[in-house]
Amino acid sequence: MPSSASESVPVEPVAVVRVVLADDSVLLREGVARLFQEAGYHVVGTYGDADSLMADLDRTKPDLAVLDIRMPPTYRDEGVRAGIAIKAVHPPVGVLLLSQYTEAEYAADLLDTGAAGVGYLLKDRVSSLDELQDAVERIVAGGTVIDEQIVRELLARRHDPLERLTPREVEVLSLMAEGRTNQGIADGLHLAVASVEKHTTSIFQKLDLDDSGAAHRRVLAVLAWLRKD
Amino acid sequence: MTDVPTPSPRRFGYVGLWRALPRELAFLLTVLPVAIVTCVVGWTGLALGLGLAIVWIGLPIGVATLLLSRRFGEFELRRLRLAGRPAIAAPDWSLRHRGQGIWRRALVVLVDGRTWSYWAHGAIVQLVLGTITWSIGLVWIVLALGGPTYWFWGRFESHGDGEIWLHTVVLEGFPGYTAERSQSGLFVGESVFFAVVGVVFLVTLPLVGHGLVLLHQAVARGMLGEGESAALRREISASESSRVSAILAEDDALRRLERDIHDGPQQSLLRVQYDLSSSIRALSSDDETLRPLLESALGLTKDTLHELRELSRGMAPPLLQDRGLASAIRSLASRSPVPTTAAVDLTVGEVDLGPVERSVYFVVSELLANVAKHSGATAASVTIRATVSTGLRARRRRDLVVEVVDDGRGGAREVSGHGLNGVAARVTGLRGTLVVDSPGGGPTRVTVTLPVGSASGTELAAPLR
Repeated sequence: MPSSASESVPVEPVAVVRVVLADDSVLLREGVARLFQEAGYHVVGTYGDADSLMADLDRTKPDLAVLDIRMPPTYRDEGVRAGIAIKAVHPPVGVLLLSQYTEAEYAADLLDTGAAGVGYLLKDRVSSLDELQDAVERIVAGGTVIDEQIVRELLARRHDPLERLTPREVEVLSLMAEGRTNQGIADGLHLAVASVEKHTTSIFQKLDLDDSGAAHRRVLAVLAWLRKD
Repeated sequence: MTDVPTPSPRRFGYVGLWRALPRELAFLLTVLPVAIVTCVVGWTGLALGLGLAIVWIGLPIGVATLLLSRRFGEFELRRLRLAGRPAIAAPDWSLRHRGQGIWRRALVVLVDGRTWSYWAHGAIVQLVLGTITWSIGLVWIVLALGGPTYWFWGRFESHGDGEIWLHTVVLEGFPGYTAERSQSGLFVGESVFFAVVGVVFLVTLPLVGHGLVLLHQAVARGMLGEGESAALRREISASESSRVSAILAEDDALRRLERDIHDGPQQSLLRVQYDLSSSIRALSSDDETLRPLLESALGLTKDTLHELRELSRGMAPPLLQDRGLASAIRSLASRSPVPTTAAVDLTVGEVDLGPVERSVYFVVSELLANVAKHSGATAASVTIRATVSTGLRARRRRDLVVEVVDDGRGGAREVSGHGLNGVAARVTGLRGTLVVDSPGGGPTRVTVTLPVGSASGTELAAPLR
C-alpha cells in the first residue's frame, strides 16, 4: 500500500542508511541488494547466513539488518532468532525480516522483545520502492512495520468487538497495526491528520485500549489486542 | 545316468525316502529318551511348583518349569528340522513379555496358553506318542535288519527238538503244506520265511519311518507352532504397517516438495518480480508500449507466486516444518474465523512426533474448517495432549489425543464427502480412532486418538528423514 503518490521519485536520504542483508539464496540476495541500492541505501555487506552477518556487525556498523527467515544451518526460523539476538546486542540496529510466508507468530516473537525499530514483511513488498523506503524509514526511526497480510489475518478473526467499529475505523486500525503513524495513515487514506486522530481516539475507546501516544507502543497495544483470544 | 547333480533336492519318491531315512531314524530312536526327560522334568517341576505355591518359592519354580518347557518344545522343533521336516515357527515369546516388572512378567508366563501347550506336549503327549512311535520304529528296524540275515545269525542259536518254528505255525493253515522233518530243512524254511518277512519290513521301513516322523510333525505343528491366530495377527500387523508407512512416505515426499518449491520456483519468481519492477522504473515516463506489457507481466508473476505459496502451504505448512506442531496448531487456531483457543501439550517422553505431525495438523485444520463452515459456533477450542496407557497383554501404548470442541448447533456426522469423512480415513489409516459426540443443539466434541509409539507401532516413532 503506497503511502503517498508524491514519494514515487527516489529521494536522497539525509544520512545514508547503512544496510546489511542475509539470505541463503544468491539470486535473492543480489536482487534485494540491488533494490536497496536503487532506493538510495548503502549496502555494506551481504551474507549467506545470519551467523556471519552477526559476526561482522562491529565492522559494518549498519543502521538496518535485513534478514531472510529460513537460513542455514537448519533452514527453519534462523532469521527470527538472529533478529532477536541483534536487538539484544545492538539495540540501535533496525531489524527487517523478509520472508516468503507471513506468520503472525514470528511477528509476535519480534514484538514481544519490546524492542523498537523492527519490521516483518513479505518479500514481495520490497519490489515497490515506495514500500521499501517507507518501511526502512519507519524502522530506522524506531517505528514498527508489520505486513498488511498479517494484520488482515488478525483482523479477520476478531469480528466480534470490531463490529462496533465503522468501516473507516477498521481501515484506520489496520494501518495502525501495520505500524503507521497518524501522518502515514492520513496519507494512505487521503484524510486529514486531524480526522485520523479523531478516528484513533474513537477506536481506542471502543476497544478499551490505552492510547499511550508513541506510535510503536500503540502498535504493540493493537497487535496484542488482536492476538488475544 | 549322468552325474549331473539333480537340481531339485526334493525327496519325493521311494529313493528319496531312503535317502532321508538315516535322519528320520535318528529322530525316532531318540524320541523316547527325550520324552522321558521332558516328562519327568515337566511333572516334577509342576508338582513342586504347586506343592510349594503356599510358600513363595513355588511360583518361581512353576515359572521356571514353564520357561524350561518352552526350551524343550523349541528343542523338539529343532530336532524335527534336523529330521528333514519343514520348519515350524515358534511363537515370538518376546511379544508376550511386554510389561514392566519381574512379577508381572512371571504372571504373563503363568497365564499364557501357548506356554501351557508346550508344557503339555513335553510332559504328556510326547511320552505317549513317543512310546508308540519309538516301539513301532524299533520293531521295524529289528525285523528289517534281522529277518534277511536270519540264515546267518540263526545258526548260532541252539535249535532243540521241542522248538517251535515260526514259519510252521504260520504256514500250517495253508492246504498242501507239510512241515519239513529234518532240523536242517526246518532251519532253511525258517531262514526263507524270515528273509521274506524281513524284506517286507525292509522295503516298508522308509515309509513307516517317514510316516512316524510326519505324525510327530503334525502334533508339533498343532501344539508348538505359533498358531493360526498369531500368524494372522502378524499378517494384519504387516499390512497395517505398510499402510502407515505409505501415509508417512507421502507426508515426507510432500515436505520435501514444499522445500523444493520454496528454494526453486518461488525464489526465481521473486527475483523476476524485482527485475520487472526495476525495469518499469527505468522506463522513460512517456513510454506507452512497454509499460503496460511489463506491468501485466509483473501482475501475473505476483499472482503465480501467490498461488504457488497457497499450494505449498496446503501441502506442508511452513510453520509446521520450521517451528513444529505446537506453533502450527496455535497459528491454525488464531487464523480460524471462529475464535479458537489452543492448548497443546506434547510431552510424550522420548517419542519423536515428527512423522505424525502433519497428520495431526491436517486433522485439526479440517476439523476447524468444519466448525467454521457447519457449526455456527461462536467459540471453539483445540486440545492436544499425550497419554500413556497399558493395553492388551501389558503393552504400553502412547497416544496423541486431539480434541476439538465447539459451542455450535451440533448434529455433526461422518458423511461421505464431508470433511469428517476425510479425517476419519486418515486417522484409521494411522491406526487411530475418531469419535464424534454431537448431540442436536450442541456442543460438538470430536476426539481423535493417534498412536505414536507402541509395541506394534514402533515404526511410527522412527524418523523418516
